Amino acid sequence: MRRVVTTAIRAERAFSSRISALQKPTSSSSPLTPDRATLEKGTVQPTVLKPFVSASLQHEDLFNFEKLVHVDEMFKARLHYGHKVGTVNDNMKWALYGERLGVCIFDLDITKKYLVRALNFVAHVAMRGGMIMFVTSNRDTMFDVENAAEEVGQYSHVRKWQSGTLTNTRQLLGASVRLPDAVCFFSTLTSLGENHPAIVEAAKMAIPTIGVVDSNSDPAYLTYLVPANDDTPQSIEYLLRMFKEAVRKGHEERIRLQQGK
Amino acid sequence: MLRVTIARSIRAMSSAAPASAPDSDASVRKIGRALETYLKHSQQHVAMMEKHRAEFETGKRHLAKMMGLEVHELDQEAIDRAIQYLFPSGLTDPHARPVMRPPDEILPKFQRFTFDEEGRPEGSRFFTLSPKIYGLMSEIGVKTQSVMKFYDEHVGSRSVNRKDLEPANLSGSQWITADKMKKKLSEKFSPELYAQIIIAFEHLASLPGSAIEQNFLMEFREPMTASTGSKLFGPAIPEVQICAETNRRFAEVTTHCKDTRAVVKVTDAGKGKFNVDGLELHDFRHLQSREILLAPMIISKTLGRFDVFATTSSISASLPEAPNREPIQRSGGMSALPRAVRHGAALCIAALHPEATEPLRLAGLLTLDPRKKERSKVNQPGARAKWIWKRR
Repeated sequence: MRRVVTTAIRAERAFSSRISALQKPTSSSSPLTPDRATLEKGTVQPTVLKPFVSASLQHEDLFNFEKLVHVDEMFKARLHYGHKVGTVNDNMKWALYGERLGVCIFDLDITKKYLVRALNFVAHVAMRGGMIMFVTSNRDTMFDVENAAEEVGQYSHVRKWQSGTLTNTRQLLGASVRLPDAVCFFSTLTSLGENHPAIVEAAKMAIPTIGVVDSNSDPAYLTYLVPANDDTPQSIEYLLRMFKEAVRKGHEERIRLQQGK
Repeated sequence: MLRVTIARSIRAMSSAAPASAPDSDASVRKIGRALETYLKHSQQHVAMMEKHRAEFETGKRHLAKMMGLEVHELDQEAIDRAIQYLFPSGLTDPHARPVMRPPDEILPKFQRFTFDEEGRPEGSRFFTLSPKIYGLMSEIGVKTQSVMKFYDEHVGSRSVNRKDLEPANLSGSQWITADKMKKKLSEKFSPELYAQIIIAFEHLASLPGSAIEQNFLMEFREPMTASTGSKLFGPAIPEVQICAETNRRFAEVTTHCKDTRAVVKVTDAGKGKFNVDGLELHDFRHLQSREILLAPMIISKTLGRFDVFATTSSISASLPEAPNREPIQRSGGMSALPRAVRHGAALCIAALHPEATEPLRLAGLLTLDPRKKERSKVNQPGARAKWIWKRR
């Protein structure tokens, strides 16, 4: 027990020291804001703006999710199962390892890489006090998704999508409201096999999206992809646990930064 | 995100620590554009309502002057009358006619939401647009799952009460109406959503083992008996009175059947005597009449307990008629007259002997028979019959 506590404390210290190191400007020579010419160039070639982005955002895995996500756990949670080979989407072939008994199998190393990236993004949004909306259209997992969102104080939408919920809030709600800062899809397809209407709406409103995409899903318009099985309750349970943990980590960091200020 | 330190970016995005905000300008800037717009619209709405209220008061004073009244005499009814007089309108739809009402009543209401200090709307289902009703739907869904699980785990075992493994007992009650549901949840929703909720409730209630959720289900049900007292067609069940002389309970009611009006008085603790216009039961020669007269006592199982005193008259005789027409003096015959008495007697028995109300209602004796003789038409021998017509 004591050992566990000490390792936790050590990890905590390492994390805070890394954050404080990143908070300092890496090079004092480059200015804080880009000049007009650079901005104009950035509209065509966004990479020129990279030196102006803060170091914490440039870090690949600031919250150390690499340690949290394990391939064997993902395997046990059945994240590797795709759909029948015949239904595969051409744009999802990059994430596949191969095929077994006519069923697509995801490469969990690729899945891990993308999952860590998505979790890092979610934690960053939570750290900055952003609103995250969990969306699914799967009836088997809708209550789990709702509960998960409620547990971490975020938003959920598992019901019929009223078109214009994001694009036309003024009309539907009678007032402009703050929209979610990130939308997280736990299944991107509706029961009819069409893309969830919220994907396009989020893209129109420039809201970044995270999508758990199965082998038959269309990854278009999604910002962060997590190639994994989206139909099995166990796999959604695992992914929800991961995303909840990411939100919690981001939130804890936010509280600590506010108190330490 | 441009090069800013994490602390700065957090400060820029929120005002989670309003106490530490150095000046009010900064806190307004922090709360984000959406909330800012919302607050702006809210303030605009308040200002607009103020303006309209002032205009209404001025208008009222002008109207009072026009109508030759004092301002304090001009209440809403007087305003409506004045508007109807000054702006006569032939439009059939009342909503299309000119009105003058306080602006709070007629102008659209401003939707108010609850936000926290960061501008985040309250409730995790906010973006479903009907958070309360969808919340209820999820609650039903979760309970359905738990009931199924409970039944599967305990069926055949002796550890639980056997009554818990049965469907919930919902007899004598019905689901609350959409309006009541709206009030209960304080949220508007479409009829489709209400239908979905009822389907979900019905499914949950039909499951074996839903008895464990009895209390939850009864929250959304109302007693069915409320409908019997208020929804009787025809005269209501009368009040019980006490005769000062004999100290016996009695009830009196006026009813009618066809053209016969009957004033029926039923007295408790009697001997089962009938007095219909001075006639007793055996004076009715036809068996049909006797059966009709005795029906309420047979159904309520009170033969020989109540005395019935009834006087009948003809309705059309009492109506103002053309002077040259001879009034019909007699009331109903062997069917209509006893039926009028029967309805009155049944109502009085329901009042004196409330246990018999439900059997009497189910037998249809508390319901008025509204049928009347159809009037004959001009240039016709009867209501529907025509004169024989032949071309030549």
